[in-house]
Amino acid sequence: MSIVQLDHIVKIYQDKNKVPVQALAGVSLDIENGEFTAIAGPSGSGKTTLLNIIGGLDQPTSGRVLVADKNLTTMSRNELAEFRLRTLGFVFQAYNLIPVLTAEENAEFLLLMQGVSPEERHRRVMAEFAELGIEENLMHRRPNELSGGQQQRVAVARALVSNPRLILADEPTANLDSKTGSHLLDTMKEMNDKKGVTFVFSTHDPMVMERARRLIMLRDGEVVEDRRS
Amino acid sequence: MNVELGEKVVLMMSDLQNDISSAAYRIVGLFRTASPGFDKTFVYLKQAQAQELAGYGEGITSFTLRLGSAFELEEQVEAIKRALNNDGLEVLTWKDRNPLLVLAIQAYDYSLAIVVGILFVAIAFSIANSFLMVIYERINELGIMMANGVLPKNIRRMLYAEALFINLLGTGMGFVVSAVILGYLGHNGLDLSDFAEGLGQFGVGAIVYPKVAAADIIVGLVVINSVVMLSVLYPAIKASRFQVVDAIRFV
Repeated sequence: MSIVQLDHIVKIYQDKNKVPVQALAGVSLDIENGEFTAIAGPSGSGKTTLLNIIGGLDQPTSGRVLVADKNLTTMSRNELAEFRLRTLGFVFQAYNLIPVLTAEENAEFLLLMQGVSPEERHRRVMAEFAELGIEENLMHRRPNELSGGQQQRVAVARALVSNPRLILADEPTANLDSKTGSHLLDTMKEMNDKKGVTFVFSTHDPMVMERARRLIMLRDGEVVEDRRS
Repeated sequence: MNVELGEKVVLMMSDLQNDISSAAYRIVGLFRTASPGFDKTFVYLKQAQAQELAGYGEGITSFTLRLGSAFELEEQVEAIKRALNNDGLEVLTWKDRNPLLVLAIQAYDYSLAIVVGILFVAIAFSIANSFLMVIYERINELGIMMANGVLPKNIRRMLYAEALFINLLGTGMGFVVSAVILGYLGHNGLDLSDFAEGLGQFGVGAIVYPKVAAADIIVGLVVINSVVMLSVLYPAIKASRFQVVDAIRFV
């Protein structure tokens, strides 16, 4: 069963000189539940744009986007925000933790938005930290007191703790050394195997591409290759 | 008047019969108020001496009542009128006796309102500008929140709450500082002797004792809080309308 269905997605935006740039040129693909998929391609191929559209962070110029049976192209800003809160998890290249919150507070942020009780939030965050190998003594540290790898783990914990159906990761290993990046990817693969969470990566990191069970290659906004291992 | 204690002065006036009446009096006291104009206009005699000079017999032209509170002026005037039973007597308030002073106070109030209004507009723009700068420094943070599902209306509410907290903290601190300063000056006075001559024209002394009414404090608090919360409306709305995909990439 498909969790993501993209139907002729076109995205044209204007650059700073108001010149129209076509980021996606009619992409159509389905992503099944439980997949560990990488969308790869050179810079400017449209992979981040595609990920943003799947995540409801951006709207296509034309085409239809169905995620978890919801048509994102017809949703309002409020509906998209609510959908992201309940259904999706995000892991960004730049970690994007909230600087004034501690590691624990960052991880429980989505649960707080969902109205989960403090005790339940703490229990779930601690469980997630344990699974991701985040030591307890890091709980009360702010992002600027954590290493890159630790910050990214906290970001992954934040994405996972709310039990999303789909996690979108935009170049999650780009700012990590190879050892840390490899360790993080193995952990995410383990989460995919254990919990069946669908992962979709936007990447040009060979480590990610090696681990992906499905590799979708983009070039100039079009799918040029789609292979499963 | 260039007179000393013990000297004699001759007072002349039109009496009740419109004849010129005069008498000589020895000076037994000199007074100086904040108003040189007042000082040059009034002399004080014993009641009997004044009645004799003016040919009033045992009559008087007016007497002045100093009331306990300026806020109950009209009610007390009505009570006095009822008590006098319209017995051929006229009851006048200080406003009736000093229409020019009333006009001057009104003009002062209007100009003060204009100045304060301009001040508040300037404050509002300053607060809005500062808050906009704060928001622009947090574009990335706000974008992360919206990307993770925080509704735009909750972004606005969060920013309003921050503004309200800062506002209450600021007005609280300002209130304490003002209370200390006004308490000190209200007790010890503010020395404006350098401006004594000019102030005297308005009957104001060289040392003023500031006093603030509770109503002024309440109105001030309400107005400043309203100005602040209105000022942050635009920045908060702007923040909630950031494009998420641009905000999360903002450096």
